[in-house]
Amino acid sequence: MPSHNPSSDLILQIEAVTKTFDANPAVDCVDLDVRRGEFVTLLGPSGCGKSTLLRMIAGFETPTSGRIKISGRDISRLAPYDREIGMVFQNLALFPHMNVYDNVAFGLRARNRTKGMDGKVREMLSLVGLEGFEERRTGQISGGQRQRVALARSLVTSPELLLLDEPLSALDLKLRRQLQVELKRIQQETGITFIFVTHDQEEALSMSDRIAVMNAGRVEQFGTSVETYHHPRTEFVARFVGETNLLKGVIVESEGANALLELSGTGARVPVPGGAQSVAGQGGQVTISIRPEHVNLGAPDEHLVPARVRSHSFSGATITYTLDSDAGPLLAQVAFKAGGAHPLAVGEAVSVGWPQTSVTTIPA
Amino acid sequence: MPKPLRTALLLAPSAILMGVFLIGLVRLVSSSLMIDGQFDITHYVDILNRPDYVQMLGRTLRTAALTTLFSLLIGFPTAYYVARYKGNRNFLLLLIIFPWLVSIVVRSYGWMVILGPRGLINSFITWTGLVERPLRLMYNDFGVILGLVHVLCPFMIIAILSVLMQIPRSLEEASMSLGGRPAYSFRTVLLPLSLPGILTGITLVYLMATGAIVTPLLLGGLRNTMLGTEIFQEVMHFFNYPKAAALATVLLVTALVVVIPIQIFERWLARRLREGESH
Repeated sequence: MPSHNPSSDLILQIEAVTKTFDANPAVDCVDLDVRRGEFVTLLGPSGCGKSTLLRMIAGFETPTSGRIKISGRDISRLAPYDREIGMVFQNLALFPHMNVYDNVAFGLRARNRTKGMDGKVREMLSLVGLEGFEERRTGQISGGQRQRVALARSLVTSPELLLLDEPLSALDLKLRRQLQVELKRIQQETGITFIFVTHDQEEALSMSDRIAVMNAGRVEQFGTSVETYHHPRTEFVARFVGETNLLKGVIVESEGANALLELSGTGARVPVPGGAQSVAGQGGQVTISIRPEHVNLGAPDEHLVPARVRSHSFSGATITYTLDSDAGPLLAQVAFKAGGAHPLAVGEAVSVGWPQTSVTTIPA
Repeated sequence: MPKPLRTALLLAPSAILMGVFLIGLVRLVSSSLMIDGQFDITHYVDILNRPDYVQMLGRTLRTAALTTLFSLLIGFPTAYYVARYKGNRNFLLLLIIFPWLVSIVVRSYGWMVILGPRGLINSFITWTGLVERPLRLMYNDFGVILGLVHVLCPFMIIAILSVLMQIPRSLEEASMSLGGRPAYSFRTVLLPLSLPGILTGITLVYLMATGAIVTPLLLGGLRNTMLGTEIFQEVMHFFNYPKAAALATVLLVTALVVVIPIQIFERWLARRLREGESH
């Protein structure tokens, strides 16, 4: 495999792409730039347009407007077989009338690149760990192995770009985790740019260099996993990527880099990071997001917001409390101390606080 | 209900049907081989010695083959269109089977109205002055094949449609994304996977075309009779049952010579395809 060039040149440029079906926009004016060698995930709920966007990149749908460029060349109107783009389908779409070898060799035969075909097919099969499976029929191998065949088949023609449409969604959790690691390894080994579609935010966070969170046909946020998780730019992103507490309030004081937010319902005044004023001036409505794992629980008067325990669930390393407060229901995830008794009972009065740095401001 | 009884009850209808058909078949063949209670192959010798019968057999097989071919050429694209149609597929299916709602005699008369010497087509083209004399569109093989394709094509469409519906669109997309142009994708993916349905359609249409009676009678005229029509006339007009039985046996055997190998191939193919599918 050629080692990939870490230069930041763009392999894929999506420019103002819109796709409407019967006047309903499935993809609504999306702009997206993907750098060579990146692992980019399109993340969103079903019906958000992520699959339609992927299918337009593959060439199975034509954009209603806008342009899609590969390495600077406009390919929006090119037939799928004239694009050098690999694709792994959600149902894998292995050819049932062919054995593993013929499935993998298909792309080379279709493009008439049969010179050295045997070596390439075997190289791909060894990349995905399927040596010795050449003669097996696709119905005689396990789900994970079928997954690997699909991957080998799409990589054998050395495409510049590989599209993956929720390929792991049919697998059980354990196999899924294993294949996520392997996909990432193969992506790094081959240096091929991956565009991965999923609705599973954990999958997206663990695998991607960058995540494009999509909702209702639009990209709400495009950034690294850490940015997406810790600095959600919209309420949708905050809610969809991980669990979070969203609190509404009004800016009552702002001075330089600091501002004070009065939480609706409680009257409690909490400091919010600088920049909140730029989103909303004094008296402006603001929503803040605090991840459950950043929430501190204390004795009734220790923190700013009083609350009461409604329920708790134990999940090994942590306990997640659902709390009732005047600011609305809150989630708090705290580390479980070994040997300790269950610290808080249902109905117990507590108070809730958080480090100022863990607060993300979202424009209302 | 005890299981053996249930099985017996479920098998009974098909057993009765098969029994009746088998008795009929045995009696048909045996009556063709008997004259006055004696074993005799005179009827067969007579048939083979009459050039018009041999010719008729040839015409029957050729007409059936051409009908099958045209039904396939029309049927496959139609079935593909219906299988990939995103709207109301049932409405399209209704349109396809619509010809079956009309009696075969009425349908053939319909074609006579269109194709006849003073029919729709001929009166139009003579009126435009393109030709001086009406074209001969019926009372020949053309008319018969046209009529048969009209009647039998739906069988082909439905046989092929049933397999195309089982082939996910993503297989074709996978082929395209791997660089397979439409012709290549068709040849390497769609055709092999739909072959069982194509073979079923071919068998159905071919068998029904070899045994056709009404369409050749009405659209073929007197000089272009097919074997089915001839058998019908031997029975209904001349009451010559043994001869009709011999002709029917000849027809049956020649049809089976084509159909049985196709069926064996189809079974083999279907088994192979099943092995490749996911569990």
